[in-house]
Amino acid sequence: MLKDLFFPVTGAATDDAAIEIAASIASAYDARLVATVPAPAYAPLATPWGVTPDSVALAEMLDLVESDARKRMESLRARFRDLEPACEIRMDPDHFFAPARSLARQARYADVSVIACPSGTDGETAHAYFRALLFESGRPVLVVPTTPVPATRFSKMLVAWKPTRETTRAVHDAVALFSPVSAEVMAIDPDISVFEHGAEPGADIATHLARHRIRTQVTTRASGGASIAQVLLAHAKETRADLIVAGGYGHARLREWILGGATRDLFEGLDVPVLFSH
Amino acid sequence: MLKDLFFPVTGASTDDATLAIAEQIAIAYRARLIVSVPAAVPTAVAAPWGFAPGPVLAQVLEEVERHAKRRAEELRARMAKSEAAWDVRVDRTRLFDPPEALTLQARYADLSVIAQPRGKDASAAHAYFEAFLFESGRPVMVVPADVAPRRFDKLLLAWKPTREAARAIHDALALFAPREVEVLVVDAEIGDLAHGDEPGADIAAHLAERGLKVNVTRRSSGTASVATMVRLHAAETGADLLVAGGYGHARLREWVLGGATRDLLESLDLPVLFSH
Repeated sequence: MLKDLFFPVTGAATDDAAIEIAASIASAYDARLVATVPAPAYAPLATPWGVTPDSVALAEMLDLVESDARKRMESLRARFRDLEPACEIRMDPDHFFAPARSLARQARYADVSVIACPSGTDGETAHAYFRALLFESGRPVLVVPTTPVPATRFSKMLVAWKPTRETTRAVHDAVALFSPVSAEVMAIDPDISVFEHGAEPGADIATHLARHRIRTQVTTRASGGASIAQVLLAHAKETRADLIVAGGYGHARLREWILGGATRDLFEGLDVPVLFSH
Repeated sequence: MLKDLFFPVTGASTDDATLAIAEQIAIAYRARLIVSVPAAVPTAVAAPWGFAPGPVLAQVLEEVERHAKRRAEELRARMAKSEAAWDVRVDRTRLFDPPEALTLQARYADLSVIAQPRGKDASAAHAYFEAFLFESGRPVMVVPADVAPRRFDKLLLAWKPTREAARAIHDALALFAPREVEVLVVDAEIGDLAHGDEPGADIAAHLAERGLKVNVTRRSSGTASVATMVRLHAAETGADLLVAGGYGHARLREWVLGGATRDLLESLDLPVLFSH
């Protein structure tokens, strides 16, 4: 059951479009949206010539950062005034840590976090938030496109199935949050050995989903030259799925693997929200 | 909502008692109980004189499978009279790690149930606990041998501001739809990295948003262990289930040799739901 959504205000240009989608999802589920603006400041650093910046400069910087954050908070409050109290805008005065990690801690008090799909010049910021939320919050992350989405109440989900603990978590999180009506379990290039998918890729998880009274269908595909992400996105479009569910970054891989791979590829040309869990 | 419950047959002497508890939970929630007997399949091992001979392996394999099938038949006979929906199956595992291999099957269930580590079977139970906690991607319920399981309507949350504890409480809400949560914070450290000014207040607000009856208690352990405090509080409040994050992520698995998770695991007299 979706009750609380968390939206970190990253400062990226995509914030405005994404928070709009987050607010519509919240209202579709009768949930509350909490958006938090970070007010990060630099910690003083010990260097051979003393501590920089000095306390006077530091105080000035803190003031500046806080007033910026406050301005941003006020403008969001004005924009979402009609939605109160279902929409709450907060500030996170975090003086010592990276804002992404600090906000990931706030995300623990919500059911799911929503962020914009990383793209363009703000891509790196969005990636930093995505990583922090995925790895540190203990909650799933919903990545939304910045273009209008097909639906804000998710009834038809497409599961990018791999027999990993991340994907398992993602599927169970999606079921608990959105109670979808139907699910298509898609195995792309499945390895059918005993300790991977097994002889019938997707059959076991489909049986389990059916126990949750979800109409379930299994599809196996060979990617044949296209990337996994391209196959998924094309299939989502064809079948009019309104949510993709995927495990974020397999645990055996280093975080640096983020520089490539299926999770990151999914962000290119994303036009359907994707729920990731780790 | 709890629909599929997974029970790995570990071969420990506690299996029967634990199975009986898992069965009661399945009945209470109208869930299906999946009982999995591991058949540890030997693999060809490179030895100085080449690979171990095929015929010998085949013989061992046959023996292992026969044994597993016999155990599965016994369990089917036992479950035949059960009110619960059930399925008893034999799952092939690699020779040395039945716990890790069974976690693959646990992914297709909502929750796994294992016995509290105790006595001579403690190390086997620990191996299962760790494998399921870290690898299955699903929460693990650890049950003492002598509890009478009920529905889990009143939860005791051992709250720490960690991702594991956040996962655990959300998993518990999704599985059991409880009515009441008692949030217990022991030895709260107030600060940026730890709790805020009011330890437990944020998670309590989030729980209350869902219409749950919530109460927050802060305690300091003094000379007692955290596990002791939790045990006392559980008894005082009459909680049905303890919910806790299992092993903070910064710790090495070897830390398993000590610490609050292990204390909780071994000393409690009520079921515990752990997530990682």
